[in-house]
Amino acid sequence: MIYFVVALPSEAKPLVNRYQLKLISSRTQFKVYGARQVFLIVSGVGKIRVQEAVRFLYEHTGSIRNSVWLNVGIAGHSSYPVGTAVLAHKVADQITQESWYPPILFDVPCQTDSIVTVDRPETEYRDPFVYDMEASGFYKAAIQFSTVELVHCFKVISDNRRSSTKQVSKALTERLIQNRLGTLDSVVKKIEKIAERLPSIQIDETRLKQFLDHWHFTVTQQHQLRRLLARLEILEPKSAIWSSELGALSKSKDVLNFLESRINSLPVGL
Amino acid sequence: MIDTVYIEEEIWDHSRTREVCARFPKARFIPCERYGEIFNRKAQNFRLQKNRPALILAKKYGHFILETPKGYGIGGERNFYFSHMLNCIYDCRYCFLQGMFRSANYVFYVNYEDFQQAIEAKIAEAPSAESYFFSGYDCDSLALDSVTKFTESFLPFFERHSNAWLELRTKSVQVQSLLRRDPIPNCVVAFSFTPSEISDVLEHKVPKVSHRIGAMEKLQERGWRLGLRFDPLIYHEDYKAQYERLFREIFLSLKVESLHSVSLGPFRLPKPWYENMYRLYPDEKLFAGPLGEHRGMISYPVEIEQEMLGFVRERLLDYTPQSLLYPCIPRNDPVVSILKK
Repeated sequence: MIYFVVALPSEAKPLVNRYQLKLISSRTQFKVYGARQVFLIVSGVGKIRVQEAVRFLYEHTGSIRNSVWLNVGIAGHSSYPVGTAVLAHKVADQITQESWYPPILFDVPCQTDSIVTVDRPETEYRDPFVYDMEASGFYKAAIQFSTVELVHCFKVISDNRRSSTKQVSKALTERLIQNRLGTLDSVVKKIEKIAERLPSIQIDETRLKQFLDHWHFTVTQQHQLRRLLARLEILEPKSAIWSSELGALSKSKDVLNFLESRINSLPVGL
Repeated sequence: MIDTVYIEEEIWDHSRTREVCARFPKARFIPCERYGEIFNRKAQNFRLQKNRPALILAKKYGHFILETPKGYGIGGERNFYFSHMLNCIYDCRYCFLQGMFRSANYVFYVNYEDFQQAIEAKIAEAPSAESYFFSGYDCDSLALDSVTKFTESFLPFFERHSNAWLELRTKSVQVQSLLRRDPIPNCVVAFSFTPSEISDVLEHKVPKVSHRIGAMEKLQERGWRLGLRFDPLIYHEDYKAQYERLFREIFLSLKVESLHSVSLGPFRLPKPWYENMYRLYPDEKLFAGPLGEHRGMISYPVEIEQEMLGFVRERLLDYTPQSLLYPCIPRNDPVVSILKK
């Protein structure tokens, strides 16, 4: 799953077109677009709004953990030319002084820099950072739902000392994001590749159901059962576990012991 | 190899920081306040990070030297360990570091002088006794030596303290820094091994067994005192034949006179670390196999553990005297008796 979080409709539009997203929720507090495995939410400006939006998106799309999360938007910098794409290697909150360090585990097709999130538009660009108004709120919220390696902030420079925020129109915003879609797409694909390496415990759900239908397992025992079945699947893929001996057991505890014994009796390979 | 270097602001201008950074001219250098805000953060995935770890340059405060658990040692009564680095460039599936740490990034503490002061203080506590200092618990002592210059700094230091021993523990073949200089009598260069067949499956990115033996041979010729570490012992169907072959191969090349010590230890992990490792590698046969909880640790069943320790000890005694053999097991553990028969 890929989640895009943007502040403005003009930042959303190029992404909606690029990923062929459909509006799936407009009556709620946020507009949400989606198609297949991609969702986009328009949060509004500011870190509080973006935090709420991240939670909203997560909860209204199945609460799937460890997805790819990207905050995409425009930002300012003292000297970077307008249109420069930047991926955050550090996200800092100017007010709370908190910092996060998104691990970049891929070759980046653009430059990386520190993003400082401010509460009001930064027009003096005092330090050589990228300034925005959402990244810290986004990052803090999104890492509640995903592993940090999959959570990133991608910004396109819209203003600098030569070109002030007053010149940033909806049309310019749309064009800036549109012009960097290729770079963004490359970043997304690379993060997706990383996400594919996430481990997952494979359970044969049919087999699991067979056990749950036959015996009553407490919640703790269900965890133990899942673990034992997963281990057996690794050690003896596709093997038949069910036997008359197993079926004759009356207590769930004995079933768990039976499976444990079976694991311990298997020849140990690497 | 390293494209991101985080640097604590306090040591930004430290000479060792500058030297390390110079080795990675294309890396991005990112200032941070304290390394813990990167290394200890929740919601990190060790397995993902292992594909491209960053380097974190930090300053260590306090707890420079720690006592080893009772029973772990190579002949001395005063045993300590210290870690100038956290994490390792290798990726051994059984390694406890992936269960202990949240991040796979390498932390490198640049303030060697503080470690050395702490070591001197420990030595001074018992000046007439021999103290042992183990350097390869939380990292590989030599694998990144070309970057950290660990031996360049610590060997001359230990050379000045003849009643203190330094153990360098490694799977690396990066021994040039040792070959370039004269050996010191109070340093043990200890190499860890599992049989080739196990190493090929579980020790990712680790130099081949034969290459490690080759590195030991060179050190032997140069006069360094060597150690052999068979810890952890990994069980599987053919372990006996494979460990026998490994010992034969090693002792064809090494002379017993070059050996300072041989140690062996079972595969054991604290349960929380094992749980972390299982979550990272649920598809790993090593973790799916016959491991269970015994006295708060995850290990092979007692009978397997005893059989392995007994067998390996017996085979080692074909090549080395009992006096060189040390178990890496808590002193009060029942299996110690097997190793001291």
